[in-house]
Amino acid sequence: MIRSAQELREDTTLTADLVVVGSGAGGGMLLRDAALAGLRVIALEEGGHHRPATFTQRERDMLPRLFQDAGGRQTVDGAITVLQGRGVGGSTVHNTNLCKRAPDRVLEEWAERFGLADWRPARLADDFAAVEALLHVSDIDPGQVNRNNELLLRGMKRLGWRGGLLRHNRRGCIGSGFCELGCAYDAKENVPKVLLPEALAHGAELFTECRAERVLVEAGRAVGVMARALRQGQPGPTLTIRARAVALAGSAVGSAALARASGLPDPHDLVGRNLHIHPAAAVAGLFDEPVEGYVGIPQSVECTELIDWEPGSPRRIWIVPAFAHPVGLVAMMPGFGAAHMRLARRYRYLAVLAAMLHDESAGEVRVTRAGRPELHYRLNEADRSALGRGMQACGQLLFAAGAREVMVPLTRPLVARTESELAPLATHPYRPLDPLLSAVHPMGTLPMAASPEHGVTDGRGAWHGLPGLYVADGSLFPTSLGGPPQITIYTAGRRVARSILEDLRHA
Amino acid sequence: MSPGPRISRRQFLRRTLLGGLLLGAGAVVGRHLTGYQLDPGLATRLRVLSPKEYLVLMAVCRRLLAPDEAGAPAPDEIGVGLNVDRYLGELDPSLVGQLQALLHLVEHGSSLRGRFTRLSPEAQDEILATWESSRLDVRRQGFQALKTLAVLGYYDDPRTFALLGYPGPLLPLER
Repeated sequence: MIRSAQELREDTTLTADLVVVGSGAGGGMLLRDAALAGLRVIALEEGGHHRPATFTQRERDMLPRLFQDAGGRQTVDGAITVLQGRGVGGSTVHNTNLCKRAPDRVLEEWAERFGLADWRPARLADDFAAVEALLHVSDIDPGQVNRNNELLLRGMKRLGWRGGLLRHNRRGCIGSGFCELGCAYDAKENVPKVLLPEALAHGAELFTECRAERVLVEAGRAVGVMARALRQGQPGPTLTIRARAVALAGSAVGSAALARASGLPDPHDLVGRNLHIHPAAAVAGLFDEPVEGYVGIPQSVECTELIDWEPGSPRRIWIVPAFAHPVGLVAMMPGFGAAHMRLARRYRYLAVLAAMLHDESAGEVRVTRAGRPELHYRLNEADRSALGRGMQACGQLLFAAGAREVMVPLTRPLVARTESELAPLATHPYRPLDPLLSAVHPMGTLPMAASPEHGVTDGRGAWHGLPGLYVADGSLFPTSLGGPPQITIYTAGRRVARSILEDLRHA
Repeated sequence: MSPGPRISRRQFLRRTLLGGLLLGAGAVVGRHLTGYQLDPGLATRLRVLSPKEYLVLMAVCRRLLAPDEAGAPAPDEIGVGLNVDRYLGELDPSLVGQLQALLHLVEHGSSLRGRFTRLSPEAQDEILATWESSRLDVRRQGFQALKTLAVLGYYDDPRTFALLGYPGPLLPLER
């Protein structure tokens, strides 16, 4: 059953075996698996339950409904916009459905550096396969590759660079191109469509429009969560769920913020630190023929020429198309007034690529006195350099694909007509907002490690030193992933569900 | 896409030498100054912004969205201010407060020549250009926040889709 906490008229206390905070990829999978195993599970979701039939394909309607801070969440210096999901299904409602397993080399690094032997590729293979089967992950049909993605393919081919088609979790896709504003055709094989119905059919309950304020701890054990109903942004009655196990699955931002606000045990001062976000810079190419990047699947092709996932490697750039609907793209165009409008008129003729950084820089999630999360994040020198090289590579790809001009949205815009004019990008002295960056993959703030000195949680997702508390989202990743995280987060949810079931059985 | 401004009044007081003084003085003076006349019919439709804040926002938007050629819809025609106001109604009040502080700063703290709304378009452009490329992160942040809101209020409208060559949603617009 799904209920809005707005219906609550007075402070309410319920009991359950498990309470899950958040209903994105990790929380959704955990909710389903725990319910199927017979646990009484209650999930809490800050946002609303938005059904595909209500999606309008317009940014001004959908940003407030589906995104944290109406799409305006940023690092505190305003330099990086961090797009995160809000509402039932979290980011699975508006992501672009890219399905890649965590890279083997990254998982090996986790095993070597953090003692996470159970996360080695061979140990994860069955779970990955099960998740992919459940979500109907498949190869993207070459016939579904849109023009923007075709141009990336063409550029890679001409340069002899590595890359190719991606996999996705869509069925019944009509190629509307509105994935990131929610699919009105319900073609995403995501939490609301695939996992939630099963969970609900097995007795799971989900309260929407309530914000978890505190994890309850008694006698050295997590025993529940105190949440508060939200009425048009205003606090309402409390909703307390007392449970045998508590799982944080509200994203690397939300879970860390809740952990900090709750004052959970953190003897090694790790909670909220180690924030990685995969910052990305966009580069546009102007073509003579219309590109119409807003039509069709937005991302179906990747370029892996500049990424090897080796720890410490300077090759840390993953390149994908990054076309956006008008507001998202036009706001990134440099300048203002008439000059800006002249650029905007080229919208239909632009192809856009993004250089996404497999970041070594680590930020921090803090909490304001009002309880709001604050994202502190600055790129280190090595990452700035890698990003500059990534932007240059995007330009090379666009020229190789036939672009007449390449535009880089720096404060003083770089408009290149030849590849050699891209050279300054490699040494561009990055400063916040120059260029504008965006990110969609926060992770790492409650990281796993065998030792409590290096991780907040162990390899099973259990909080070191606080029985009854688990984490089931991207917070768990001890490093940046270097690729789309949803499959790994779903898989984490599945594994944490197993940990909880095992622990409760033995309790 | 970065609609939410993150400029805080306190940050400004710390980071800019004159900004704090101007903002403080501006806030005091602003409360006692009149001259912000808004059509009552329009004023009653505002959910978040005060009439004064609306007028400052529109003055900024008219420059940020100045047309490149005749025929481009004017920001007033599109109702950019009301669109932005509606969007702000979805934000956390603390974020809205920051934006309101930013608008007051633009009006009373961006030029020694007078209120932003009373400057010539050329002078307004000069201020915006200064903010856009300022050495102060917080000014560039303020500029980008205003620009993103202006774009949100203008380019998500069927009348501006044509300007972009964008066909718009596949679904009926009234959905």
